[in-house]
Amino acid sequence: MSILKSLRNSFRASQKKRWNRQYDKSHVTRVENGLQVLANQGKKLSNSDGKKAEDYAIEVLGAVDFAPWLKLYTAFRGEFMEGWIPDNYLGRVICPAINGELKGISSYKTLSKQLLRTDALPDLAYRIKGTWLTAERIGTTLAEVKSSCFDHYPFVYLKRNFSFQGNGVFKLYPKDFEGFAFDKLGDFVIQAPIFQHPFLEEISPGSVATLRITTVKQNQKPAETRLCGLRIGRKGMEYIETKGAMRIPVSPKEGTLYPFAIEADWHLRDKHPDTGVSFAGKTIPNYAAATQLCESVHDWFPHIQLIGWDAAITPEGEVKLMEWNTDEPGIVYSESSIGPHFRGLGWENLWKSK
Amino acid sequence: MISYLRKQYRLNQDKRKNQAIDAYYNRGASAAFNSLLKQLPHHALSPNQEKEIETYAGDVFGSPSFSPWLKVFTLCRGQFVPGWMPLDYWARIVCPTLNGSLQPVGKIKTLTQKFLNAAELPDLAYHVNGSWLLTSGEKTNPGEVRKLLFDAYPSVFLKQDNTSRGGGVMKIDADQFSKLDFDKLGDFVIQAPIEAHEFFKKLSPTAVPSLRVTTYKAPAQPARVVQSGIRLGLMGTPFIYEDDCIRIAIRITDGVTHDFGFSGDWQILNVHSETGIPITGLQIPKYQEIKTLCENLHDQNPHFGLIAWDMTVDNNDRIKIMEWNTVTPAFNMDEAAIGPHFKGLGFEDFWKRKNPGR
Repeated sequence: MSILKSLRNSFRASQKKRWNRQYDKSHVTRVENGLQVLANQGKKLSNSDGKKAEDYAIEVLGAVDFAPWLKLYTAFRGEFMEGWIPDNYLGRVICPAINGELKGISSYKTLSKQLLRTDALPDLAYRIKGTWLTAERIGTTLAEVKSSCFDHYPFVYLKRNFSFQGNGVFKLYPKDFEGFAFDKLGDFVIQAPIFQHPFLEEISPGSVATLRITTVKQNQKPAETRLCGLRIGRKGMEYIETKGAMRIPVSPKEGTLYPFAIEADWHLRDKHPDTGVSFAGKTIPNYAAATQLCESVHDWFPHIQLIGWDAAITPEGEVKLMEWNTDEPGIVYSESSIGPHFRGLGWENLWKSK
Repeated sequence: MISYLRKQYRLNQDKRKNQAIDAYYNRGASAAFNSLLKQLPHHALSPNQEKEIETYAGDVFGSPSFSPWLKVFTLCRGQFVPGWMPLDYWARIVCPTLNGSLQPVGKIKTLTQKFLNAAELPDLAYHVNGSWLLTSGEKTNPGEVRKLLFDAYPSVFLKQDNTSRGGGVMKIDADQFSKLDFDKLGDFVIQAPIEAHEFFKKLSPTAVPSLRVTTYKAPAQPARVVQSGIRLGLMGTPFIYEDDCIRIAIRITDGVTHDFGFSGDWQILNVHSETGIPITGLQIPKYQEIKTLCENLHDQNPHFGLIAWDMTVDNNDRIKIMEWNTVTPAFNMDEAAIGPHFKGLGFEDFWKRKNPGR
């Protein structure tokens, strides 16, 4: 091999390594902080458990890089469990392998309804490259959009493409429409507001709780719900933002709440800090309808094997979909507390394929 | 030092990538040039003309490397016409800029109907990641699909995802269907056969000809047709495959075929090379309606700046969509014959943007 060729190969290998390290960086920080917070709550990681996590990461998942989340999961549960999926393994190995070239498609919120064809999405209008379209994709105007929004709803939500975790979401009242800089926002969808079931209003007062249902559709098989969690807000939140929200892991089959809500920084709460409402033993109303809807919409889109759905339950028990996530749907709060959720899928071998 | 080396490596990588793309899209240019030169020796380019074209490519498109197709067009027409679009610039700069990260989506044929939702698309069933679906979204199985397909048609067309220009297309009957290894074929759509309109049948007796209509949608503007041509099949081919066809440009104002077309190897023709049927000055049936349909469908899909539609008309006068193209629809023969098609749209300035084509 020529010197140049060997230099190029080692440059490429080092580039890949750098990229992986860069990718893992935020995960490492999140785990370090999380472990600290968990330790303060009496959930300490023993040295021998830490070693178990490292050995498992190397042997089963192919790199010690995947040990940090396993350590956190272990600290949370008090014991190491085989079959857990570390979040960075999901992001850098699983999603690219099973969601492939369409991995990023859910970032186009202006395409969700067109691709998924479900009335469960509350889309009212789109603005795409300066063109206004109705939810049926018929050309329209700002004035028509305004009346179609506010003839029915007191306010609406605007969500930008490529926004995530609540960034890029605006709540708009009729007066906000005048002089609003729509041109500066790029492409976006306008969605009808969703009003939630009293059960959820009690748990997440003032902001619509998001029921995250993660479905997996294996080759030739129907989609199945594998993981679930409920994201709830704090008082004063208009809508759920990742940073301030709490997550209550939910048993994926029954829809029963875990006794604790977990704050973004891994503080555990057995009651809602603002209302004192407890979570233990409660079950989400119409849960089966929610998982069935997500599974059937997933079956209609077999191109993607892993989808995280953000659902809501209305006062009448109807299931609405706020959005879908095809690019690394988060799993850590449910996976640590009630996982493993993804056993038997062969995901632990995906790192071995090219 | 390391960071300097890294930068140099990246620059060099970009340059090599660009060269590879240009080489790929220019690979047919010298054969086209030589073929035209034999037929039109009086159009031979003088060294001065060649120099002028290279200077033009450098000034307008940012690099003289974009000149090979411009030289072919000039040779064809006997003079240089400003505004022509070289294919490598089109592929490397224009299409990625206009269609962004959704550019490859048009290759996923099992998604076409989700984007278009059009009765004119003859899709019947999909096979994706091992699952069978009907166009309604209903789950199904190979047995049901077989019955559905072959109770209605003697044969159907199977088109694989991520293929183009007739690659990955199969015409299959019931027996062949039973013998297929679906898992090996990956993801694919099955489309109903189209019985072509008398007009098209006469022009292309065995393969349904493909009427290309390219629409451009500028930001906040309605989509409009900017280019059009037709591809005619050769004898014995069940569908049009790569360059094994005859192409003739179409005037987009009225849908009339140009005064001459080309064979796959750039032989100038005014009759079908096999049947002898005249191909020039013909009025395409339902042309205005086809244009309107393409523009309307494009207006429903504003994410894409550019869409090339492969259309036809069946024997019941119904317009049909064979497929859509969002990746790099090529148009060289039409551009040579009646171009420029894209003048005044500002595409020639895209290379000046930061990260052009990304």
